[in-house]
Amino acid sequence: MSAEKLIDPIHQFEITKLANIEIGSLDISFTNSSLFMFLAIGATMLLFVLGLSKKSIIPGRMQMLSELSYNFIANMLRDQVGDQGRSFFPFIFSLFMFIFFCNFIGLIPYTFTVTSHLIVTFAFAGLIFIAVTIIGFVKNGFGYLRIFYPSGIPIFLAPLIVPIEIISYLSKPISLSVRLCANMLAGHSILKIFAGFIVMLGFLGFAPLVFLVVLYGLETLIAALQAYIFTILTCIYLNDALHPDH
Amino acid sequence: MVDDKKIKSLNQRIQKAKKNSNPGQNKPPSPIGKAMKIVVEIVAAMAVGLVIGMLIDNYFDTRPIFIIIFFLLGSGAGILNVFRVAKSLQKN
Repeated sequence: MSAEKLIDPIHQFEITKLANIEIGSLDISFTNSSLFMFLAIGATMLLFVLGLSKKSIIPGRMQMLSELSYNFIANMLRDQVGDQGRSFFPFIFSLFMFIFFCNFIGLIPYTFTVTSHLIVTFAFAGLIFIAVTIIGFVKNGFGYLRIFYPSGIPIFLAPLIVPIEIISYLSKPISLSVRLCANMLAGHSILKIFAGFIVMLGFLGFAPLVFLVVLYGLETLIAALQAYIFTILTCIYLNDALHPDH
Repeated sequence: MVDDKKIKSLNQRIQKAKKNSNPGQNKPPSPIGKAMKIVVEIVAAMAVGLVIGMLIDNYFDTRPIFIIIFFLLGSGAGILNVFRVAKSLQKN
């Protein structure tokens, strides 16, 4: 095998069709991306079905894990949004578990990382953005528009401040989605490149191997951290919609 | 009661553990997370400004006036975003 073929960091993000499904001119084929989304949902369900099947007072390992994740998100929601956020818990919780498992399944060799595609993360972020905007208008009426004009600013600055605030508001879903996607894309590419170095260097490959092990640990941290950041920012946007005055 | 002593010592241990864990305090985010957060904010706001400017210019055929205006506004929004993130980080 030639050296150029060994290092191909982008190949792992390729989407392949597993089953061709077409409705009219619409291509809704079942791809490897869809497969790993289902796997992430399956892993989440497995965790909770296994963990909560016994319901003992002294929890076992699996029950501990599922209760811990529940408490983690519940506390986050209470700290960031307050008691009003209770009704959004199912959404926030499923969002976190899905992204968390997508990131982690992607770390296993020969798997596909769903969250490394911008369109997937942007679909999430865009949906959250639209939902949060609708929630803001429903809860506050047209008073929600005040977020574009903070109090205490002289009227002659309004033509400058209002467009800036609107752009700042519109940039939320983009920064949210790009952050998650870029982290996953960059991390997995680097892992692949260093794995290629190991093979290319032969005996000397132990040096990049050591580095790769360290990098893998870091990547594991980032997978958890990015799921956490995505969820906590969703909570913060939700809080802004529910209490626009703060 | 046989278990009185045991319960007492358990209570003491629980209180000790509670003191050490200081509940309600989340761990601060790692420096990498902080840096990524800030970098992305500024780029995203600029991109949004640029896209809005391009759309308006294409609609009114006035390229490049609105691209320039909205790019500058987007940069302002990016700085505002960074300012807000930094403020929220400082609070924690």
